[in-house]
Amino acid sequence: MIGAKAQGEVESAPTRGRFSPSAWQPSQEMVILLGMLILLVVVSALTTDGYFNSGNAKAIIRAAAITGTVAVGLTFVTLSGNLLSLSVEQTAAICGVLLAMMLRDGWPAGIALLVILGVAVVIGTVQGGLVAAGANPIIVTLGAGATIAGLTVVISGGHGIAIGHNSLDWLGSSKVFGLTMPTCAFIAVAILSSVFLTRTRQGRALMLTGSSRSTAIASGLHVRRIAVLAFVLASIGCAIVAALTVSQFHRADGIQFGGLTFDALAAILVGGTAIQGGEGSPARTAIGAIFIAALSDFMILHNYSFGLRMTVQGAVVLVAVTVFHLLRKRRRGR
Amino acid sequence: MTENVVVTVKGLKKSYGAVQALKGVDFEIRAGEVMALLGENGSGKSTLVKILSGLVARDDGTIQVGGDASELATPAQSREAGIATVTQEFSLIPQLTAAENVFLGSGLSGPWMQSRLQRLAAPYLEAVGLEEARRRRPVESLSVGERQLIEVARVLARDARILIFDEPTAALSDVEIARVLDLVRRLVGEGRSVVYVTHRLGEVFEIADRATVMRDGRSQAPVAVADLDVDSLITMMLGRELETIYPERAKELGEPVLRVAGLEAPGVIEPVDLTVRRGEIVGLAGQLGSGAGKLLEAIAGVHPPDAGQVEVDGRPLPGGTRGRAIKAGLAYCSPDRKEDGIFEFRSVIDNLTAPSLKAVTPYGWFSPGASRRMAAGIADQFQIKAGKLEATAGALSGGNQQKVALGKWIGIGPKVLMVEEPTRGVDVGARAEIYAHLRLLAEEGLGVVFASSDLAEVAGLADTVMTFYRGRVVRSSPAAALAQDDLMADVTHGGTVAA
Repeated sequence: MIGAKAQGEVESAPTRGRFSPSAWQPSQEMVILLGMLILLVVVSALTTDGYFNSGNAKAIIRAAAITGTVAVGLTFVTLSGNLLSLSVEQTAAICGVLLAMMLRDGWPAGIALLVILGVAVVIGTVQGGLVAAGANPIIVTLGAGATIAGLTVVISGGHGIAIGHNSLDWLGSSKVFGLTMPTCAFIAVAILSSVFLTRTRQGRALMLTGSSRSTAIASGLHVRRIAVLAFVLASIGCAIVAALTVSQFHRADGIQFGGLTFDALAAILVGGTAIQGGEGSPARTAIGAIFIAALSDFMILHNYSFGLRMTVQGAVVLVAVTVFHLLRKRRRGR
Repeated sequence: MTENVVVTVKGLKKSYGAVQALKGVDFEIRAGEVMALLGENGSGKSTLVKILSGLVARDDGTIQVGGDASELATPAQSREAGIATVTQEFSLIPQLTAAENVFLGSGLSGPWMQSRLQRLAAPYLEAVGLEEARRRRPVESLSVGERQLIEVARVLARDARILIFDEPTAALSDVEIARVLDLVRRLVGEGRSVVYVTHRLGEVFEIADRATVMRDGRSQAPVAVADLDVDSLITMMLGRELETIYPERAKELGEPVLRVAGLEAPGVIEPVDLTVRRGEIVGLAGQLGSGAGKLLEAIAGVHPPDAGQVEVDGRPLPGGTRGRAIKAGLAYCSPDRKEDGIFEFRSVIDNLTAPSLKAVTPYGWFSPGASRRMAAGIADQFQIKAGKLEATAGALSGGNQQKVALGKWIGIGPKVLMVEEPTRGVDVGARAEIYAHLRLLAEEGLGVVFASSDLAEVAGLADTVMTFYRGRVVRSSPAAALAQDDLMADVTHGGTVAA
């Protein structure tokens, strides 16, 4: 061998000990997030009588569940380097309206659920396909959102669809370990998404693509397929939320999910997922959603006005985005 | 001697977290001189340059510019002190024209200013030799070399007294290099000072008056270049003797593993035939735009070829996509490592397993054990320290990054490895290692093809040499039978040396 040795810029001692694959090292973002959440809970508990008695924790997670489920799905779009989707609430709305109509007409719940799942997959595939072909995700999903919203009005005739007892009642009313279905679904989606991202081939490929699209292409990864996959996963999150909501409220209409898109994006950003992609996780998004819900809970308990709540929530997103950006910058040493 | 010193740096220290990049650096430069700044990657010269540019704050030490103590805490302060840096990272705005980029940040821009901008920028672009026809095109459509020339033009426009050239020629062809060197001479002729950071020792002897060699975060006393030769310089950089940087040539060659017939592609004007045998290293010599790199891109499926066949191991390759080429065992590393060679922000493990994701995800499920074993195996073979497997690839030195960019292909069980500019931005010590690795891969039965504008590299490493000039093959011959003069003539004149 040639007697020359490269001198690395980062000299670190060999750390064989760290090689055990089970050692889970939470990201700095996760540590900060959990720290903030705990701080918030402690402050809330100290300033509110009976904070822990009143089933508050469950209420917070229940409040986070709908936004959180959608946000976790949407995280894949961001992680894969495709920015975001602005058609989330419209996708959920059309799924909800279709589901309510089918249930009203007496379709079996299983078939109806499969149909809206199929619709969600189609919606995700079309948007993902356009983005994969090189279109800007913001424009595509803005356009798709308007189209879907219009279609929803056409299908429903512009009316809300109310349904009585139906074959999907079990979903709205049953509980597992004392947790409502939306809560269970949120937890399950968050866990499955994390597993998918870190433990499957497609998940790894998605993350690599988000971290450098050109290197991913040069490495032979199928970046187009991955864009489609990301948008399909985001759409499926919307379909799940639609099913949960319709089964609970026995009605659906075109504006049922107003504001969901931005709430979901807020959860992703507070969770510290980089908008450029390649860094972040569904778990962090889930914690982000819970944090926002806990903050909202705290403000309601303290009788903050609606306007003030909005102001604080917006400011929190700004601060989070700034802090996480600076953190990344420092970690990347530039 | 009491020649007027314009910059004096004393006792400079800087740490990044636990890593001490500068452990006490002294540095000075006089008016009207070229001071070469040399050192292996990781020796601290980039950090010194960044501190002088105001991009990085020092922990300790003093800097005097023109006799006054200077903070240099921000790029603006550095600019005010009369310091300007031509960086190796490209900081041009891709959508703007050359002229607009020259005056970036000066308030002169916008579509209504085009003709005035063109006029104002003309002398600077003229000085660096950017062709007039190319000046009105967006920078993104220009070659890497041309973009580098614009970087230089931009610094000229600022009329700085102290210019830092940070590897200005790493991406340039020989003709362009000559232009930059001329320019440097002219600048110091005007009484300016130039700090010249480079990995190419030849350039040091061509233009530098003195040289400061850095090693392991410390500086050595500046020496007059006239008192030096290449060997002593290398010894100073490495702190030890370097016998030779090129490994021995192949003793015997195997069966042809890659056969290319009649290939035409954008940038390759005449059809090219090429055969690579197992165990053989073929070097394609050519300047930027010679077609050597484009040929590799076409074979690798980066751009579909216009015509011709590619056969791997006797089997025709339905060309056109990277995916198919990879499946057929064609590994390819582009010259732009940062852009598409590595995942800068992912760990070395993730990088090394990226092209062979299938192998580390049996039945679609990721196996951390398999991933680590594969990465550790490659790291071992390429002498990437095991402790660095967890580090992000972007934090490694240029040499180690290149090892990652090359090594990641081992996982696909490649039959042919194609590399463009295998040692760009890589220091002397790591260069030798990379050459040794390429040779080792050839000895294990791979066919290796590399394209390079560094003629010494082609002559030293390749078994067979093909020379390229303006999209055409000039010659194909065993390296041993080729003198370096011929090589030079081929790639700079297309072989037609005037009688």
